[in-house]
Amino acid sequence: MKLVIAALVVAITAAASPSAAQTPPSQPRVLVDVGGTLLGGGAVGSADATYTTSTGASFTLFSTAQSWSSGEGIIGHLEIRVAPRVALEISGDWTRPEIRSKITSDFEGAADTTATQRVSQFRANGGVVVSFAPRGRWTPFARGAVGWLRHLSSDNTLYQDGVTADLGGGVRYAWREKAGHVTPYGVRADFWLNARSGGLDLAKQSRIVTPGFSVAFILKL
Amino acid sequence: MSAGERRRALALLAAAVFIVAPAVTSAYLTLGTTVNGRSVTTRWTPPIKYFVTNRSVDGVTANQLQTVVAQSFGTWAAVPTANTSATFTGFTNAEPVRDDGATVIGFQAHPELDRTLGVTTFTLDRTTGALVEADIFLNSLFDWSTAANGETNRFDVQSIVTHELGHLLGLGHSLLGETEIRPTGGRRVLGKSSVMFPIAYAVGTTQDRFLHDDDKAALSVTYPTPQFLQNTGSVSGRVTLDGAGIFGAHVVAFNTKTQELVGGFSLNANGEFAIDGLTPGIYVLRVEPLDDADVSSFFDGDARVELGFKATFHSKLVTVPYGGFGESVEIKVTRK
Repeated sequence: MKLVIAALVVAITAAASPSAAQTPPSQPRVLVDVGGTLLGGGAVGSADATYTTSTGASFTLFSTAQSWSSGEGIIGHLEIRVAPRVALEISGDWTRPEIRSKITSDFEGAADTTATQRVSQFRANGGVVVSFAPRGRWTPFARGAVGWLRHLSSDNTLYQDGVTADLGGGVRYAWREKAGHVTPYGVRADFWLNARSGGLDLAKQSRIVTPGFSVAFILKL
Repeated sequence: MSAGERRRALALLAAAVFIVAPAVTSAYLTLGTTVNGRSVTTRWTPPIKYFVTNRSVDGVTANQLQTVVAQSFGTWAAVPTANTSATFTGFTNAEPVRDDGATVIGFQAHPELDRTLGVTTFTLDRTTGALVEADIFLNSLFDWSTAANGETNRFDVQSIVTHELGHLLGLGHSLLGETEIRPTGGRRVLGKSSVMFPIAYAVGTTQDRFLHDDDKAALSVTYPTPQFLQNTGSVSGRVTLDGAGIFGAHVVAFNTKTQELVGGFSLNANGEFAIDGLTPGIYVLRVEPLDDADVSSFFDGDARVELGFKATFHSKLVTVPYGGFGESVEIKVTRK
């Protein structure tokens, strides 16, 4: 979370700088950025622990409702421009969400409990970024990507894979260039909707759609 | 092996489950004995060759009994993750409880056992612990039926035989069930999730013909296929009360995706348990005292089973990996 906040503060500071709105940005062929991200969570389903009665009906021992918390982490993108306003992108992120099971209605009166485990989530995506006409140093863009995800349990004994897709957009803000070095080039803020399926399955239906947000420092190579 | 070396080691089903194992390898209760201080599990080398008594009772012929016994053996043999099989050898006039080296299944009158539907007995080699024979009798004091959908006021033969065959295969009792005390004595089953629960459904019910996840896991741990060991995992840990381990706590693992419900017990004074044969994934763990059946149905009379604690959920979701154990957990319970 600290990464995200720090990046956001830098972004706002940079945007507020009066000297930043002087020169139109160049359009580098390759951009790399690294920053912080926050990926949302949500409910994924419920399940009852049941016994069978003499008639074949269900007898509920206890009930559970499963969810993912939001998870903060780090993110990086590599953009390669293939047309004036189109770039191919490879991105990856690592976040640390919590899986939760809210347990209620125990037949023998066990106290309601929310059992949790913090897991690692890795995503690797490939996608396309379409930039729109710059406005001063600001360049808005739209982005779509699909990819692979892996969840790793807290004790590192179990991993399960799934698929992921992002659709969203954002804006880049270009700083002044300092020639001759790999220099900070600007900042990038993204908002997107993420759909993911698979990974550590907490419920029969493991698909989830959540918002995502990131802020990253851009390096021009 | 001479006849003099044999002795009837287990007189009643589940009377001698392992409670002396120095290391907890599985929380399922399996039948066995101790030979020279060493625990020996009761286990067959398939196929099991068995006889059926050539005697009818009211409502059930010998042929009907044989058909139902074959179906029940088939139910256990159909578990894809376990290697078991059985062969019907023929009808016999021998009694089902007799030390004759033959495994016999049939009806027998036991009016002194007025709450017991069936019993499985074993003959073990005293020097090695090896299984010599096992017999099953169904108590002809009760009314029985082999009707496809059960019969009002009669107990279902296939259901009870399926339970007893679980014992014959070496399985002890499971506590995956809830009961209530009857005003007239005894207990009534509200619901259960294991054929190996020690108390039967009421008359007219055929639900115990079908195995549950708990039964399949217990059988597969006893007679595992190579794939079973690779494709399933285990959860292990301790159950503690006031910082000390407790014996005989019932631990239930619940997979929130598959809704698989499998139970076991803490089986030593340190409160250690290990539940094997679980589908890899994320599990909720619940602990409860052994209060839905008689303790003697699970452990022998010397066992000091802790009953004075509240049902409790573990605060962490636990991981079951492929082919091994996840992180060991400690589940803390509080006094009632």
